[in-house]
Amino acid sequence: MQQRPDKTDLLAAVARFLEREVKPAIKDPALAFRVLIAASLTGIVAGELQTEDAATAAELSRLAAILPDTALAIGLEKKLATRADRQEALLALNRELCARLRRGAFAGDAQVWNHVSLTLRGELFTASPRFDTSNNIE
Amino acid sequence: MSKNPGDLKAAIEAHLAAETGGSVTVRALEPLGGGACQDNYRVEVTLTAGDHRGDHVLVLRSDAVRSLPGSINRKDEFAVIGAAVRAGVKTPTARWLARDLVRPGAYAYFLDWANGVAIGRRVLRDADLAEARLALPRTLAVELAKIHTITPSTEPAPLPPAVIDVLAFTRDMVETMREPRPALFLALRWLEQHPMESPEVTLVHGDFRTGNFMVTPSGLEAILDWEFAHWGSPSWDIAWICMRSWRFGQNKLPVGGFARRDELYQVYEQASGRAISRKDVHYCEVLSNVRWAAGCAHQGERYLSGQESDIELIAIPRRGVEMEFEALRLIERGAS
Repeated sequence: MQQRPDKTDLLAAVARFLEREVKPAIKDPALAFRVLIAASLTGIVAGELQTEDAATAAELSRLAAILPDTALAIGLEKKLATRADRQEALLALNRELCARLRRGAFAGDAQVWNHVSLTLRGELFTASPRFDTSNNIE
Repeated sequence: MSKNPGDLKAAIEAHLAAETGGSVTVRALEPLGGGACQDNYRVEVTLTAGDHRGDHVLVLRSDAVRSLPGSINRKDEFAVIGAAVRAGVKTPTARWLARDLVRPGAYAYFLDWANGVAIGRRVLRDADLAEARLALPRTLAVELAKIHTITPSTEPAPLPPAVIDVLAFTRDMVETMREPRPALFLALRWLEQHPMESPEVTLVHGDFRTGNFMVTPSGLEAILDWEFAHWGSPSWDIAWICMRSWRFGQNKLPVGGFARRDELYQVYEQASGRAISRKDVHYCEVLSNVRWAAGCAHQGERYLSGQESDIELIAIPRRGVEMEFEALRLIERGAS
């Protein structure tokens, strides 16, 4: 597979083109707004491509520590080869975590709270880079 | 399918002629963008009879094909606006309710046109609105107190919107999401363990936020968009205007991005004679973030199901993470 330019370069070029060349040429404000959304989505995908592997691995390992029985049951060890495998495992573990939270498990469990908080911070880093995750908010 | 412009023009003329008892000319008719649950049009009319004879600019507001969970139709909205106008709330009068006007089965009515700016970022930043912004917290507190004077017992006829069990409704939204989101289940559990303390029930505007306030340089012109009106705790509206989503980056000014909480609370408490429960407002703010996060996912499904193709819809779910984070942040912080 050709590497130069790579996926991130291409997406960044599309975002830049939409923002700097297409948007200024559009007179209809509603359409200009949607062009900005398109540019922003392109940026989000570029960011996710860069962080996805590390973020998924970290989320899976935290989930496996919280739900060792589920990790064993779905054969997590053997399910990490491809991206599709990892996504499937992530979905299964998150589904189980939600089911248990719904049933009242993990009450007051700091490990679960910290895991969820870390996951959200990672997601915000790519989806909303300008979102302030500090405590400097009223 | 909505009618074509020529047929719609003729239908409006026939409906208003029957309502006013004189001939009617539609001089201009154009669709307005913006509503997810309504088809809105700007209409210029000349009426020759009735209390409103003369030239008018109106908004025609009709049910759209789809609605959002928790929203009411135009018939119920018409009744709610009537009650709000009787209570003295600054909101455009709704007139001439119709059925099948824009689309078969859809209700529609006409609103007096309101001038000004409602777009959130402009309300917070436009230089010519600087003075209006200073007066906003006070004016809005007084208007909100008026909305909350409307209770089931003050109304001559039963008002249609339901008493919504927001927690049950939100739980259902979270459980029907296609992607399991642990943050929302953590927040739901906290909500179940920390119920509201006040049982008071009033009319709740339901979408009382920057973006629905029409502002001119001389101040608040109108409160808009009653589609999420329902009976419930007055704390819902106070929490909703303070939600981070409507601060547009002004994170130190929780009231709509333009004021501190005490600027709104003090005047509201004086005007309404009701003490605001900080605990209940905190609960409502947490639950509103959970509800809005789940709503983001459901908006995305409208695109993913193939039914709609607006890029805005598929972009929304990535924003839902912000509300999930905010719900957990508020739980960690506690009431303020």
